[in-house]
Amino acid sequence: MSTATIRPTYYTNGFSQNSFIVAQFSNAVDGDETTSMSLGMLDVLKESYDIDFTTWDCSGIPAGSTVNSVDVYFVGYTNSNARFVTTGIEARAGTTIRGTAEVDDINDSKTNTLTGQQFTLAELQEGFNVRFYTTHDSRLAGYYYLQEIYAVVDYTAPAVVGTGFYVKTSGAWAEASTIYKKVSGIWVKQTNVAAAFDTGSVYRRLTS
Amino acid sequence: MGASKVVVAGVTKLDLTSDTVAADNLISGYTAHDKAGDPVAGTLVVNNYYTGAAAPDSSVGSDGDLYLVVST
Repeated sequence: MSTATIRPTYYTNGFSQNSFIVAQFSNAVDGDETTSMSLGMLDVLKESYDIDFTTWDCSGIPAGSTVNSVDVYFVGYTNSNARFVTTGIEARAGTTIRGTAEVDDINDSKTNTLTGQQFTLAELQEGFNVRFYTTHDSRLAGYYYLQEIYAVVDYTAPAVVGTGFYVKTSGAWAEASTIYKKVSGIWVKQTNVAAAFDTGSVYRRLTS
Repeated sequence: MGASKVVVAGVTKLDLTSDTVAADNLISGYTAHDKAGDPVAGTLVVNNYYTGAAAPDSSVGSDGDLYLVVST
Protein backbone atom coordinates (compact mmCIF):
# COMPACT_ATOMS: atom_id res chain seq x y z
CA MET A 1 0.00 0.00 0.00
CA SER A 2 1.08 3.57 -0.64
CA THR A 3 -0.05 7.03 0.35
CA ALA A 4 -0.45 10.24 -1.59
CA THR A 5 -1.28 13.71 -0.34
CA ILE A 6 -3.85 15.44 -2.48
CA ARG A 7 -4.79 19.10 -2.35
CA PRO A 8 -7.71 21.09 -3.71
CA THR A 9 -7.33 23.11 -6.87
CA TYR A 10 -10.63 24.95 -6.78
CA TYR A 11 -13.17 26.18 -4.26
CA THR A 12 -16.50 27.88 -4.05
CA ASN A 13 -17.71 29.75 -1.00
CA GLY A 14 -21.06 30.23 0.59
CA PHE A 15 -19.93 33.22 2.58
CA SER A 16 -22.37 36.05 3.09
CA GLN A 17 -21.95 39.76 2.67
CA ASN A 18 -20.65 39.77 6.23
CA SER A 19 -17.56 37.83 5.31
CA PHE A 20 -14.76 37.99 2.80
CA ILE A 21 -11.61 36.20 1.73
CA VAL A 22 -8.46 38.23 2.10
CA ALA A 23 -5.47 36.12 1.22
CA GLN A 24 -4.97 33.85 -1.73
CA PHE A 25 -6.40 30.35 -1.87
CA SER A 26 -2.97 28.99 -2.78
CA ASN A 27 -1.73 29.89 0.70
CA ALA A 28 -4.00 27.21 2.18
CA VAL A 29 -2.83 24.45 -0.15
CA ASP A 30 0.86 25.15 -0.57
CA GLY A 31 1.98 22.71 2.11
CA ASP A 32 3.45 25.52 4.15
CA GLU A 33 1.71 26.21 7.45
CA THR A 34 3.35 29.60 7.76
CA THR A 35 1.01 30.87 5.09
CA SER A 36 -2.76 30.90 5.30
CA MET A 37 -5.97 31.71 3.54
CA SER A 38 -7.48 34.51 5.59
CA LEU A 39 -11.24 34.49 5.97
CA GLY A 40 -12.54 37.75 7.33
CA MET A 41 -15.81 37.99 9.28
CA LEU A 42 -17.71 41.10 10.30
CA ASP A 43 -19.27 41.49 13.74
CA VAL A 44 -22.37 39.37 13.14
CA LEU A 45 -23.03 36.99 16.02
CA LYS A 46 -23.83 33.32 15.28
CA GLU A 47 -23.59 33.65 11.55
CA SER A 48 -22.31 30.51 9.86
CA TYR A 49 -19.95 30.35 6.94
CA ASP A 50 -18.81 27.58 4.67
CA ILE A 51 -16.41 27.03 1.84
CA ASP A 52 -16.37 24.03 -0.50
CA PHE A 53 -13.13 22.63 -1.88
CA THR A 54 -14.57 20.96 -4.91
CA THR A 55 -11.73 19.89 -7.20
CA TRP A 56 -8.69 17.92 -6.07
CA ASP A 57 -5.43 17.11 -7.80
CA CYS A 58 -5.23 13.30 -7.80
CA SER A 59 -2.47 13.06 -10.39
CA GLY A 60 -0.14 11.44 -7.85
CA ILE A 61 -2.33 8.35 -7.62
CA PRO A 62 -1.66 5.78 -10.39
CA ALA A 63 -4.58 4.96 -12.66
CA GLY A 64 -6.34 1.76 -11.69
CA SER A 65 -5.41 2.05 -8.02
CA THR A 66 -7.72 0.86 -5.30
CA VAL A 67 -8.31 3.50 -2.65
CA ASN A 68 -8.31 1.97 0.81
CA SER A 69 -9.09 5.03 2.90
CA VAL A 70 -8.93 8.78 2.92
CA ASP A 71 -7.94 11.01 5.85
CA VAL A 72 -8.81 14.68 5.58
CA TYR A 73 -6.95 17.35 7.54
CA PHE A 74 -7.35 21.01 8.16
CA VAL A 75 -5.16 23.29 10.19
CA GLY A 76 -6.31 26.71 11.28
CA TYR A 77 -6.68 29.28 14.00
CA THR A 78 -8.31 32.61 14.75
CA ASN A 79 -6.89 35.88 15.90
CA SER A 80 -7.52 37.06 19.42
CA ASN A 81 -10.38 39.43 18.69
CA ALA A 82 -13.01 37.16 17.22
CA ARG A 83 -14.20 33.70 18.25
CA PHE A 84 -15.45 30.92 16.05
CA VAL A 85 -17.32 27.81 17.13
CA THR A 86 -18.73 24.67 15.53
CA THR A 87 -15.81 24.60 13.14
CA GLY A 88 -15.32 21.49 11.10
CA ILE A 89 -15.05 19.69 7.80
CA GLU A 90 -17.32 17.38 5.88
CA ALA A 91 -16.11 14.90 3.30
CA ARG A 92 -18.64 14.55 0.53
CA ALA A 93 -19.15 12.56 -2.63
CA GLY A 94 -21.01 15.13 -4.65
CA THR A 95 -23.68 16.34 -2.24
CA THR A 96 -23.70 13.19 -0.09
CA ILE A 97 -21.95 13.61 3.25
CA ARG A 98 -19.67 10.65 4.00
CA GLY A 99 -18.12 11.91 7.23
CA THR A 100 -17.79 14.90 9.52
CA ALA A 101 -15.12 16.08 11.95
CA GLU A 102 -15.99 18.99 14.15
CA VAL A 103 -14.48 20.97 17.00
CA ASP A 104 -16.32 23.40 19.25
CA ASP A 105 -13.50 25.81 19.81
CA ILE A 106 -10.71 26.40 17.38
CA ASN A 107 -9.35 29.62 18.71
CA ASP A 108 -5.94 28.08 19.01
CA SER A 109 -3.86 26.59 16.25
CA LYS A 110 -4.62 22.90 15.88
CA THR A 111 -4.94 20.16 13.33
CA ASN A 112 -8.23 18.42 12.87
CA THR A 113 -8.60 15.10 11.21
CA LEU A 114 -11.36 13.18 9.54
CA THR A 115 -10.05 9.65 9.23
CA GLY A 116 -10.90 6.45 7.43
CA GLN A 117 -13.23 7.87 4.82
CA GLN A 118 -14.24 5.52 2.03
CA PHE A 119 -14.06 6.88 -1.49
CA THR A 120 -13.21 5.32 -4.81
CA LEU A 121 -10.53 6.81 -7.01
CA ALA A 122 -13.21 7.89 -9.48
CA GLU A 123 -15.02 9.73 -6.69
CA LEU A 124 -11.83 11.49 -5.64
CA GLN A 125 -11.16 12.53 -9.21
CA GLU A 126 -14.69 13.75 -9.76
CA GLY A 127 -17.12 14.80 -7.08
CA PHE A 128 -14.87 14.75 -4.01
CA ASN A 129 -15.89 17.79 -2.02
CA VAL A 130 -14.54 18.87 1.35
CA ARG A 131 -16.65 21.50 3.02
CA PHE A 132 -15.04 23.66 5.68
CA TYR A 133 -17.49 25.47 7.92
CA THR A 134 -17.47 27.65 11.00
CA THR A 135 -19.71 29.96 13.00
CA HIS A 136 -18.85 33.43 14.19
CA ASP A 137 -19.38 33.60 17.95
CA SER A 138 -18.53 37.14 18.92
CA ARG A 139 -19.50 40.69 18.19
CA LEU A 140 -15.99 41.47 17.11
CA ALA A 141 -14.89 41.46 13.53
CA GLY A 142 -11.95 39.15 12.97
CA TYR A 143 -10.27 36.54 10.90
CA TYR A 144 -10.13 32.83 10.63
CA TYR A 145 -6.79 31.69 9.22
CA LEU A 146 -7.02 28.45 7.28
CA GLN A 147 -3.43 27.30 7.07
CA GLU A 148 -3.79 23.92 5.45
CA ILE A 149 -6.45 21.70 3.98
CA TYR A 150 -5.47 18.44 2.37
CA ALA A 151 -6.23 14.72 2.26
CA VAL A 152 -3.96 11.72 2.61
CA VAL A 153 -5.05 8.84 0.41
CA ASP A 154 -4.03 5.29 1.24
CA TYR A 155 -4.14 3.27 -1.96
CA THR A 156 -3.00 0.04 -3.54
CA ALA A 157 -1.49 0.50 -6.98
CA PRO A 158 -2.40 -2.01 -9.69
CA ALA A 159 -0.01 -4.89 -10.09
CA VAL A 160 2.58 -4.45 -12.78
CA VAL A 161 1.90 -7.08 -15.42
CA GLY A 162 4.85 -8.24 -17.47
CA THR A 163 4.79 -9.59 -21.00
CA GLY A 164 5.31 -13.21 -20.01
CA PHE A 165 8.13 -13.35 -22.54
CA TYR A 166 11.51 -14.28 -21.16
CA VAL A 167 14.93 -13.94 -22.68
CA LYS A 168 18.06 -15.59 -21.35
CA THR A 169 20.74 -13.04 -20.67
CA SER A 170 24.11 -13.86 -19.15
CA GLY A 171 22.79 -17.25 -18.13
CA ALA A 172 19.68 -15.98 -16.39
CA TRP A 173 16.12 -15.69 -17.63
CA ALA A 174 14.69 -12.18 -17.48
CA GLU A 175 11.16 -11.14 -18.35
CA ALA A 176 10.78 -8.45 -20.97
CA SER A 177 8.66 -5.68 -19.48
CA THR A 178 7.88 -4.20 -22.89
CA ILE A 179 8.23 -5.41 -26.44
CA TYR A 180 8.58 -3.04 -29.39
CA LYS A 181 8.33 -3.91 -33.06
CA LYS A 182 9.66 -1.72 -35.82
CA VAL A 183 6.95 -0.91 -38.35
CA SER A 184 7.55 1.50 -41.22
CA GLY A 185 10.66 2.76 -39.52
CA ILE A 186 9.02 3.44 -36.16
CA TRP A 187 9.23 1.37 -32.99
CA VAL A 188 5.70 0.44 -31.94
CA LYS A 189 4.89 -0.88 -28.47
CA GLN A 190 3.27 -4.31 -28.70
CA THR A 191 0.31 -5.33 -26.56
CA ASN A 192 -0.02 -8.85 -28.00
CA VAL A 193 3.29 -10.61 -27.52
CA ALA A 194 2.42 -13.62 -29.69
CA ALA A 195 1.36 -11.41 -32.57
CA ALA A 196 4.60 -9.46 -32.41
CA PHE A 197 6.49 -12.37 -33.93
CA ASP A 198 6.19 -12.90 -37.69
CA THR A 199 5.42 -16.40 -38.88
CA GLY A 200 7.93 -17.67 -41.41
CA SER A 201 10.69 -15.76 -39.67
CA VAL A 202 13.49 -16.63 -37.36
CA TYR A 203 15.03 -14.20 -34.92
CA ARG A 204 18.62 -13.67 -34.05
CA ARG A 205 19.95 -11.47 -31.33
CA LEU A 206 22.02 -8.43 -32.18
CA THR A 207 23.44 -5.77 -29.94
CA SER A 208 22.19 -2.29 -30.60
CA MET B 1 13.23 -32.12 -63.19
CA GLY B 2 16.67 -32.19 -61.61
CA ALA B 3 18.85 -35.16 -60.78
CA SER B 4 18.98 -36.20 -57.15
CA LYS B 5 21.37 -39.10 -57.32
CA VAL B 6 24.40 -39.81 -59.48
CA VAL B 7 25.90 -43.33 -59.65
CA VAL B 8 29.06 -43.97 -61.69
CA ALA B 9 30.19 -47.55 -62.32
CA GLY B 10 28.10 -48.70 -59.37
CA VAL B 11 29.53 -46.09 -57.04
CA THR B 12 27.27 -43.36 -55.69
CA LYS B 13 28.98 -40.07 -56.42
CA LEU B 14 26.14 -37.75 -55.40
CA ASP B 15 22.99 -38.42 -53.40
CA LEU B 16 20.55 -35.68 -52.42
CA THR B 17 17.61 -37.95 -51.70
CA SER B 18 17.95 -37.68 -47.92
CA ASP B 19 18.58 -33.93 -47.84
CA THR B 20 16.07 -31.78 -45.99
CA VAL B 21 16.58 -28.44 -47.68
CA ALA B 22 13.29 -26.74 -48.50
CA ALA B 23 12.28 -23.21 -49.39
CA ASP B 24 10.84 -22.52 -45.95
CA ASN B 25 13.95 -23.53 -44.03
CA LEU B 26 16.45 -21.85 -46.32
CA ILE B 27 17.20 -18.21 -45.61
CA SER B 28 15.77 -15.78 -48.10
CA GLY B 29 18.39 -14.71 -50.64
CA TYR B 30 20.11 -18.11 -50.72
CA THR B 31 19.58 -21.02 -53.13
CA ALA B 32 20.20 -24.78 -53.00
CA HIS B 33 18.76 -28.02 -54.36
CA ASP B 34 16.18 -30.11 -52.60
CA LYS B 35 16.10 -33.89 -52.27
CA ALA B 36 14.62 -34.17 -55.76
CA GLY B 37 17.50 -32.19 -57.20
CA ASP B 38 15.31 -29.24 -58.03
CA PRO B 39 16.54 -25.69 -57.35
CA VAL B 40 15.20 -24.14 -54.19
CA ALA B 41 15.09 -20.42 -53.39
CA GLY B 42 14.98 -19.73 -49.69
CA THR B 43 12.00 -17.89 -48.23
CA LEU B 44 12.92 -17.92 -44.54
CA VAL B 45 13.17 -14.38 -43.23
CA VAL B 46 15.69 -13.54 -40.54
CA ASN B 47 14.67 -10.70 -38.28
CA ASN B 48 16.77 -9.33 -35.49
CA TYR B 49 15.94 -8.70 -31.90
CA TYR B 50 17.66 -6.39 -29.49
CA THR B 51 17.53 -6.03 -25.75
CA GLY B 52 17.94 -2.94 -23.62
CA ALA B 53 16.93 -1.37 -20.34
CA ALA B 54 15.02 1.51 -21.92
CA ALA B 55 12.94 2.25 -25.00
CA PRO B 56 14.80 1.77 -28.31
CA ASP B 57 16.48 4.54 -30.23
CA SER B 58 14.96 5.17 -33.64
CA SER B 59 18.29 4.52 -35.34
CA VAL B 60 18.31 0.90 -34.19
CA GLY B 61 16.91 -1.96 -36.28
CA SER B 62 14.87 -2.45 -39.42
CA ASP B 63 11.22 -3.14 -40.10
CA GLY B 64 10.11 -6.42 -38.54
CA ASP B 65 12.79 -6.34 -35.87
CA LEU B 66 11.89 -6.62 -32.19
CA TYR B 67 13.23 -4.81 -29.15
CA LEU B 68 12.82 -6.27 -25.67
CA VAL B 69 13.02 -4.02 -22.64
CA VAL B 70 14.61 -6.10 -19.91
CA SER B 71 15.72 -5.02 -16.47
CA THR B 72 19.05 -6.63 -15.70
